[in-house]
Amino acid sequence: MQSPEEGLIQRYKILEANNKTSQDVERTPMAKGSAAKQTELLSQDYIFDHLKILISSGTHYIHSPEMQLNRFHKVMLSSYGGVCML
Amino acid sequence: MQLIAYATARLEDRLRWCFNTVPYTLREHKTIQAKSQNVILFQKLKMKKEEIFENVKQATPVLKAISDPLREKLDRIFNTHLGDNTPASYRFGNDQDEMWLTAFKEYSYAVVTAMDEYATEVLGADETKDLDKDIRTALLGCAGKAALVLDDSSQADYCSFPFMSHSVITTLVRNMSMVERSIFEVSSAFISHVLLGFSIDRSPRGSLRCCTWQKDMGRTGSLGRQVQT
Repeated sequence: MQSPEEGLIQRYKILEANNKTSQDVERTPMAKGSAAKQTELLSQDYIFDHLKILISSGTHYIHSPEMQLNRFHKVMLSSYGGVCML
Repeated sequence: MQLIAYATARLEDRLRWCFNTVPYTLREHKTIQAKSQNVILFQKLKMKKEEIFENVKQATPVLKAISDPLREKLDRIFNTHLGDNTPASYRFGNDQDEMWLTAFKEYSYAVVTAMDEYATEVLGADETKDLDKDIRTALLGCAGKAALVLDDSSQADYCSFPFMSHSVITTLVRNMSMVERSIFEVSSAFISHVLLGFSIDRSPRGSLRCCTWQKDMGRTGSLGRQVQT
């Protein structure tokens, strides 16, 4: 059984393997749940770049508590994680 | 500026600078440091260190040399000195704070020692020379380059910031969540400056300093005094 965060990483890897970027992520209006959160995260350019660094660093970050999907979603889309300052 | 993503990228870069094929060992670093005590040689050696530092920054990192056990080791050192609930962790990155600077010195010493021990252990176990040549070179020089990168006298960007590990993210998130409304308020102030066309300090030091804003700001979200970035 794949965990939601594993799903996020797998979707990122598929996009990267196909030379896709955050702009190529298709959004479904009014969608809810893990898949919607994954889509929302992957469609942000800075999160896409962030995942690139984390995944290229082996499994160290992937298995950290901060990567748990709900937590990661909350942090990355919060004022300190996500809202544009500049 | 997305702070968590930005901080992760910059601090991960600092770790990656230690693993490349630029020849610079811990012994060489110690020799340079010892000779730098001489007033006549100081300036010349300072320039030499800066030159090596630039080479290290430009070099391609050997990512295979940064293994998960090493990252876990660095993470434990971070938690012991600068992370978890240590007093220094609440002063993350504040290079004006004596407590942070003292803890950071201890952290730097522990990191350099750990990297040296790790490299000796891995290279010692590789009797059959199966390791890739680039990985061997990267491991041979990692402790020296770590000492160079963590040298807080260098005045380089992020010179008093630790190497990246998952606990660094945890600490950053905790500290920033304490001042979430303040960050939002400061962000709003910047937006008006951008719209008016004023210049803003875009230096990395300026952007990351918000990690330590809780010292300057009340936790209610209002600014204690004019924030300098």
